Amino acid sequence: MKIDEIKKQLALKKDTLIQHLEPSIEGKIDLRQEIMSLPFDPLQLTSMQKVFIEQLCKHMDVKKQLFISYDKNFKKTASDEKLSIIWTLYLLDLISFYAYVLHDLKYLNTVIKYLEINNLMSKCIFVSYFINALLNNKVTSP
Amino acid sequence: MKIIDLIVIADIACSTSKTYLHYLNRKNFLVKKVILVNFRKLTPLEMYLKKGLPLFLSQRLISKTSTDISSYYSSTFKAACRFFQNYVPHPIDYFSEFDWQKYTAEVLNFTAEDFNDPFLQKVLDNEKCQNFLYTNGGIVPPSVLEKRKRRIFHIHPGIVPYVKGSDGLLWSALTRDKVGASCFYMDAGIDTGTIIQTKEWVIPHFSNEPIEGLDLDTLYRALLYSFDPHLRAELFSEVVENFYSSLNEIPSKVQKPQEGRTYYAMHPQIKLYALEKMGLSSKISSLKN
Repeated sequence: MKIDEIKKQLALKKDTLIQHLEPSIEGKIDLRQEIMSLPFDPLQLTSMQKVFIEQLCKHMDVKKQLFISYDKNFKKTASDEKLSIIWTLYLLDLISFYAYVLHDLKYLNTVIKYLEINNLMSKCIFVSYFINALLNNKVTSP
Repeated sequence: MKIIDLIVIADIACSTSKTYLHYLNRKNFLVKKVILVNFRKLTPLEMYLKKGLPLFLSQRLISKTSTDISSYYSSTFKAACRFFQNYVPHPIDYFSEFDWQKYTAEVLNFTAEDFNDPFLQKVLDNEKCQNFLYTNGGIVPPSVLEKRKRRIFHIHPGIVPYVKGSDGLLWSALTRDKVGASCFYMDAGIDTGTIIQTKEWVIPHFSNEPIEGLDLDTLYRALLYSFDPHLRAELFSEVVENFYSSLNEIPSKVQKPQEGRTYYAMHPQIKLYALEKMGLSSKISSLKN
């Protein structure tokens, strides 16, 4: 699978999601807004965005669920509403793409575990391909 | 033999405690005391005794389990642990009776649920020596950590700040192409304490002779039970060798909060990939067909 093709499919998903984006609430982190701000190219991630993804991984690995909003430190949830499946799948596709480009097995680990816990493995477009590419082709992590 | 100003908080069922003591002994060190804790859930009767009676009286009535743990483990697990002893500097027979007295001037043995246990906390508070070695027993609460002049040593399998968190041995192999260990003073964060010393080794490459009936989970547990502690013990015995006369004032380096990464429990698929790097995947029976 070519990287350009993956980016194209991610862009299509993003276009659909962006139409349903609601204005964010002041003083809180709106997870959907943050996800939309993430670039397709992981080499363009800012240091703040890298910290944000590390915190996201922590929520997925430890709390095992994502909510639509959090406090400004991204520690406590600010809403009882869980992130919907369509947003979750886009996020996981995006993080698994980062894992693939960066050869980052920590990102891949988080994605695989989160998909399994939430029974979503078959719904994520790229992840099987990325698992195969990273683990079976013996790519080493930088 | 030199007696060092250190108390080991040992978990009766944990291989790590035994390994630390064994490596210190090889360098001619005895520790001042071993607080040998049988960490386990209390029965309702024991809970009742604990609530109703004074601490030291109730503790006498709560049973101390035998140190014989050999019957807890499967023969496959034991075979895998014995296999790993071929690759360590000072092998240990983890399944024979362990003579704790050989490694210390004094052993104190009791049962506690975890580090929140008031009896355990009282025992620690009453010690004149406030240098402790953490070996196992779960999360250490602030009530134990935040005592003036108390120093709790912890040896983590991985080089901090680069490999913090769970499955340090395997994450180190994957992300640094080495295995490592770090000795630091424990604080309230996850592997964020001030660093005393770190060490890395080349990734071990184990032989591929099969062990009958071995599955991924057993292999992984055996590696963590019987190989990983040797790296940590080797580092800690070097720290003690360097600083045994001044354990109260070992220089240490503060970690920067944003430095490095914290890793989480590894998924079996990625575990298998990490074990492959050590030449271990061919030992798993289920992968042979």
